[in-house]
Amino acid sequence: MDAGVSSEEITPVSVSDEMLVRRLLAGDEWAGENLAKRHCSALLRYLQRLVQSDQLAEELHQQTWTSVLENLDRFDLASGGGGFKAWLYRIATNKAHDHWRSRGRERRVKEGLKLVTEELAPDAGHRMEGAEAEAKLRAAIQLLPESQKEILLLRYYGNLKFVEIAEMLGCPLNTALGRMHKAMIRLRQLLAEPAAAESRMP
Amino acid sequence: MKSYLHQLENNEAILLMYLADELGAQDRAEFEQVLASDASLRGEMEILRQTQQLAFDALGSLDAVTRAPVSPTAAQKRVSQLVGEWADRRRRPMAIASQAQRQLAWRRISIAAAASLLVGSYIWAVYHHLLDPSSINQNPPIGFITPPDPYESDAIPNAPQHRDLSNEEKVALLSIPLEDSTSDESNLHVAEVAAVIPSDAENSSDANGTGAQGPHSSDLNATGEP
Repeated sequence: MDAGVSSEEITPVSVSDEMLVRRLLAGDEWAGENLAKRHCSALLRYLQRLVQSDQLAEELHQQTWTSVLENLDRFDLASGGGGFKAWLYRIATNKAHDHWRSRGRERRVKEGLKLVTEELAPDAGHRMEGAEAEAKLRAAIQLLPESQKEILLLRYYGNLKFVEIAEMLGCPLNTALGRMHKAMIRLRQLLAEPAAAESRMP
Repeated sequence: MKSYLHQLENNEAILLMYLADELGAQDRAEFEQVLASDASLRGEMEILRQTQQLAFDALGSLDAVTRAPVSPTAAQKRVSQLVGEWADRRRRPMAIASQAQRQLAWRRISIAAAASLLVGSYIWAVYHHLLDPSSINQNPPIGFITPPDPYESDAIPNAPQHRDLSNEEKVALLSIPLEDSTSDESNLHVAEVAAVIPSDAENSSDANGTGAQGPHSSDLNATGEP
């Protein structure tokens, strides 16, 4: 679409992410707000599941968008590597990795499920009848190896192609597909076992 | 679309790509032929599809029962704010640059005007000084190095006051015989010179009329020749 068209003349659905990026670079803030509308919720959920902390997810979400804006000039609009969404999720994933590295830990799983139960417990405001099921789901996801969980979450929240995920994570396509397959099998096993999470608590 | 079918190492990988609709048309057609003739592969695919659905449902269920870290509206508002700040930062350097350019232009104009004024004043002073004889030795322009005037009372204390000699005084001075010039030839030469120099009385009459150099110049030419 012609970059000269005014913001009111186009509908958000008809414009690609890359076009919005182009418009944003040209000074159209509306384009930036539209990008946020499109990706904020899913990205927040992705980070929430990835880092298992609401506060950290929010912090990383903000860091991700800040980084996106700071590096927007360097985003290659012509690249076929999944476009803006893949780039956005790559930055978010890298932010999470940076955080883990800075904390000197590979993954919270190594610390056991203590953290999971702590996060489940405190917020009575959104405790539901299915709290037990929720705990089980969270524990199952938490128990997935990091590399497998990343691909599962990128596939689900980012709706990214496997080719894009493999490129983003810097691994061969077969490796990415193998991890996805293992993640799904593992999740099914964990959910099938009634006390899967509890039995692994320290 | 790029062909991946023959790069994929196992059935799970092919099935995942097939279910994700990431195989090209040619790959897809080729795989569907195999799938149609292989019942166990179809069963494997169905299990994989259900497993994938279970995993996605689990994540969906979790999202349904857990609150997002921040509400989507608040998150969007925050990002919009970040976008606004970013856009401001991008605009600011351009505004500052244009303002600096304007300031620089005015500064250059001011400097050029001041330099022109200075040069003009200097040139005026130099020419004014040279054209006005009364100003000679009074206030030489800046940059002119003038040797001290030996007749200036300020330059040499107790120096005799300089004045021009009258023609009679010059003749008198010339008529004083030199110690080593006592010959007739010398005296004759003095007499000739004295004849050439006009007297003050003649000078005063010349000033009123005919000019001092008329007959004397011709005399000099006529008589001055050896």
